[in-house]
Amino acid sequence: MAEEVYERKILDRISDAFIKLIAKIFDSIRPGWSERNRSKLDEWRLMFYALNRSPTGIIGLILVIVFVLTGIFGPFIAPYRYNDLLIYKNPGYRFIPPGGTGPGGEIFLLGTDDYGRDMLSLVLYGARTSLVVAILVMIIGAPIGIILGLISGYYGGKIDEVIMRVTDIFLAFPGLILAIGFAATLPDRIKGVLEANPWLQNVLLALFALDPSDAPRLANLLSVIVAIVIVWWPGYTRIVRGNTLSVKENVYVEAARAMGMSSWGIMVKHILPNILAPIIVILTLDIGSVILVEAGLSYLGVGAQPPIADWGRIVYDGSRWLYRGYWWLSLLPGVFILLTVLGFNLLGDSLRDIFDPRTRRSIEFKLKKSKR
Amino acid sequence: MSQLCKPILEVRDLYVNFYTYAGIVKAIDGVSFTVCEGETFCLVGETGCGKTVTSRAITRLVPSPGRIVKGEVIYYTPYGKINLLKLSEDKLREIRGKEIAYIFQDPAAALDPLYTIGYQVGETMVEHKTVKTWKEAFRKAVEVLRNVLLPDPEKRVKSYPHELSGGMKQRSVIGIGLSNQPRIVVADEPTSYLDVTIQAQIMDLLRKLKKERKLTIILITHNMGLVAEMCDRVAVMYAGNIVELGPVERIFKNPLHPYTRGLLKAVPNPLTKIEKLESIPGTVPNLIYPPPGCRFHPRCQYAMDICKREKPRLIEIEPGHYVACHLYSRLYMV
Amino acid sequence: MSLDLIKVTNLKKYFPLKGILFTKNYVRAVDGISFTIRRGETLGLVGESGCGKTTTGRLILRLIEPTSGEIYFDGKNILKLKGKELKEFRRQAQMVFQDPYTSLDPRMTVFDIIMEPLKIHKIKVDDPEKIVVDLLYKVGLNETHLYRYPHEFSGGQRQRIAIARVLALKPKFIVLDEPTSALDVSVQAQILNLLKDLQREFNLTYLFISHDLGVVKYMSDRIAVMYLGKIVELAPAEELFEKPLHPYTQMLLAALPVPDPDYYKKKPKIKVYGEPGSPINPPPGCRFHPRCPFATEKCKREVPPLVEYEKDHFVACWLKR
Repeated sequence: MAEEVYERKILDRISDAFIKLIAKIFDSIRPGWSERNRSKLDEWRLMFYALNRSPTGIIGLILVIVFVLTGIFGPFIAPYRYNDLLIYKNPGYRFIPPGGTGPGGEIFLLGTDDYGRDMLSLVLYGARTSLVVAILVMIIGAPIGIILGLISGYYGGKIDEVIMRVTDIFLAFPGLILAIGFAATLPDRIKGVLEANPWLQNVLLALFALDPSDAPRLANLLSVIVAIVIVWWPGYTRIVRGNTLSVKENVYVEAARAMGMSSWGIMVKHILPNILAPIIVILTLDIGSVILVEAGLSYLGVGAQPPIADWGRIVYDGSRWLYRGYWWLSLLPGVFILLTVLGFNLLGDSLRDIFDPRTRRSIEFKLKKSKR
Repeated sequence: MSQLCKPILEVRDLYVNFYTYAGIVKAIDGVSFTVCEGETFCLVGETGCGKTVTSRAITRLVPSPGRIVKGEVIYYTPYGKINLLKLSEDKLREIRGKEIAYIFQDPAAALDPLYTIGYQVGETMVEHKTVKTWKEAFRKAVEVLRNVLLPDPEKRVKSYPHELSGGMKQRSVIGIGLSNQPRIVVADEPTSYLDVTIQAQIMDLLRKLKKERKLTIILITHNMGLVAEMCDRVAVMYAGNIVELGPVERIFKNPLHPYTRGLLKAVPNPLTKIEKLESIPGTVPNLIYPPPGCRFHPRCQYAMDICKREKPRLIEIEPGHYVACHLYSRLYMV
Repeated sequence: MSLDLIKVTNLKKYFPLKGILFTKNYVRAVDGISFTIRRGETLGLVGESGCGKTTTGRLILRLIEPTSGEIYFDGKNILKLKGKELKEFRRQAQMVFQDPYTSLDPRMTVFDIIMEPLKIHKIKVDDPEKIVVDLLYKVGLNETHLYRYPHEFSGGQRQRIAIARVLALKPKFIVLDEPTSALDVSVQAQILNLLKDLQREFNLTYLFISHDLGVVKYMSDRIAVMYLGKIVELAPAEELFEKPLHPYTQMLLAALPVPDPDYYKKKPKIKVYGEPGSPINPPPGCRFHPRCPFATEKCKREVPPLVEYEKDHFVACWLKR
């Protein structure tokens, strides 16, 4: 087993070129950068090699990249808008099967739904919705969880007790019921906030690639995001606190204190970088969960309201027509949810391996061997 | 070899490799020595020299990813010689723990926290059929603990490991090791986790037990003071090889190998006034890519060309005193 | 400027133990010690486990707060310092830790590690790289090590990096907490010699904590012996070994393994026995009396104070007055 010879595959060469490119860019901004960071660049190289050795990791990465690109560029390349209800143009646009042609001779790759909306466009817009929801949840929820976890783990004592009890309370919230409950009352409040701050409304509309006419329904989407964030951040606090506790025992933390570093400085410069790896893994896995949860809530009618394109909502709308044999209305968005969540799961799993320094050492050794 | 030596254990040409994710560690690189009956034989060296692995290899206790690649360990019983490395697992287990007992470094780790001391002492005796019933085992356990000078043995027999201090734990471990009347005791750094005053008491105890039961002790340590205190003969190890072997007085009074000399000069002797400690430059080599020839040559001030090419073998310079160094091979005139 | 850089008076540190509801037990880690450290000297602090030497090291740097007592550094009571003044104290008093494998942040390069103290104290430098390289040379490393990570170095090299880090702030006083216990003997000698050279070059004052008497003797000018939270003897290094007054010191020296086989041909006169007591419920009176062959009734009841028996040789024992 130890006698394996290491082959450098095409992917490795691509990764090498990619890293060299990054090094060149940094070098032009700050001369000598690549020399100073040679060890770091080597570690990155080994991490890429580790990724290349994992077929599931590569598949995951590809799926994630596809999802992200679709999310960003989807609305621009979609042939129709999400609220192009072609049925009003011509009833013949209804329920066109995938690959079928419309009354005007257009080909609908993924078919159309009961309102004559192009399924392909809906899916592309839906990707944007999911992507923005996931990012918003992460940007709001993760920092809260991480900061509280750091403080709780580092200071200990009463602060730790208080934060942990608060976290316990939030963890006890039944997310589903919370979301449903929110859906009843929150959107109105949110609408009020949005009307008072039209710039905020415009930013969000642009993010979600929505028409201004759908502004009222934006509030529903936001209420779901709030519900998810509330239920989601406590998990981070627990994990970060645990990792902080173990990193805190390392002597370099005490050494930093002996040098006169402030507690906050220690948390940010010494503890956080050393707990980052497992957090990134969990974040990646979680994005998939968040997308799934949001889709589920929308399916139940609590989230995005039509005509906003949301994968979960589309699945629900389509499910009403299954009895008529129109399978593509539900299945296609479902498949996209599946592939996206799968992608994040596979990527997250292989990230765990990649961040493990032993994997890199093993690759390093095999490289050295084959050089001889 | 002194004429008065009756061999009890002989290690011949031992090679042990560790197959790790980072590479193949050539931990033991051709080690040979003989232990005489009734003596205290020391394996001394720094971290990574291979003394612990050698002591484990004797009864095939080398943990994975280690593997004994080559060599023989000849054990001399009253009924004849056996090669321990070729013995079946069952037969080896009979010898291991009964005739060859181990005392490890960390007494807390050697004792199961869930069982009383009495139970653990009794367990080895029952396992090796030294006693017939558990009742007898517990009775004998009290005697065992008394022999290792554990205060209040009748009470302690019912104690759990966490109720005992480090010194008492190590005494219990020694008791467990000796309960089956072994012929050889392998003690691997038995006092490195203990305070100096406790260490002295444990060493006194080992000496007393050795005299009472005519034991042979193989002591592994990095502490040159302990070597001077306890040992009859010493093998100095470096990076998987024995570089010098001989009676303890000769090693201290006339150290031949440059490493032995460096080691002795680097140890602060509290009884003398030292102006400056001399250190050995450099660090222990990486055993995945060990230096060619003599593994000490990169740090040796006397290194010659041949040292980089050819590994020196152990040669007898004075009676019983061997060294593996090319400085002396010329004297030997092969 | 007084001769004493550090003056410690009646320092105590009790760690509370969680007992059953109302019973309060304490670990009396440091139980009233007083000593001084003179400018430019090395004071050795020896003792076995539970004696309180490690805690003392941390108390002197105020890494933990004492239960009572006073600590003066350069004339200032450090227990009253706050904010900027406290930070300035931290600049002048540093520590080198025992474990080289976890005392350096594995995610920082050598350059970052050594620059860090300068950044914390907002000290501006014109050429950071040059300063760091200079420090590396002082500790026996070189510029090729500048941008590497700790895991690429051996234990001895890591300890050198830790020493360079401490020197970056040009401190006056360094607590060395078993700096070579985790290292091999041959490497230990290198580091000890380095520490001695640096002390001469930068006029440093050291508190050298160790359980290894041989090492402490080599490094120290004066040595304090601790037992169960108290100092039992304090004397110049040579004198402590030639004329140990306290029975515990005598026992320690008798127990020391000496790297000379001839020494063991003659039987040592002093027998070693007993276990160190518990710092939670230390024996009344003189802490050492259960193990002391000379214990009297007075020893069992009253705690002997540390007094100057001979010139500069202090001992806490009722038999030596």
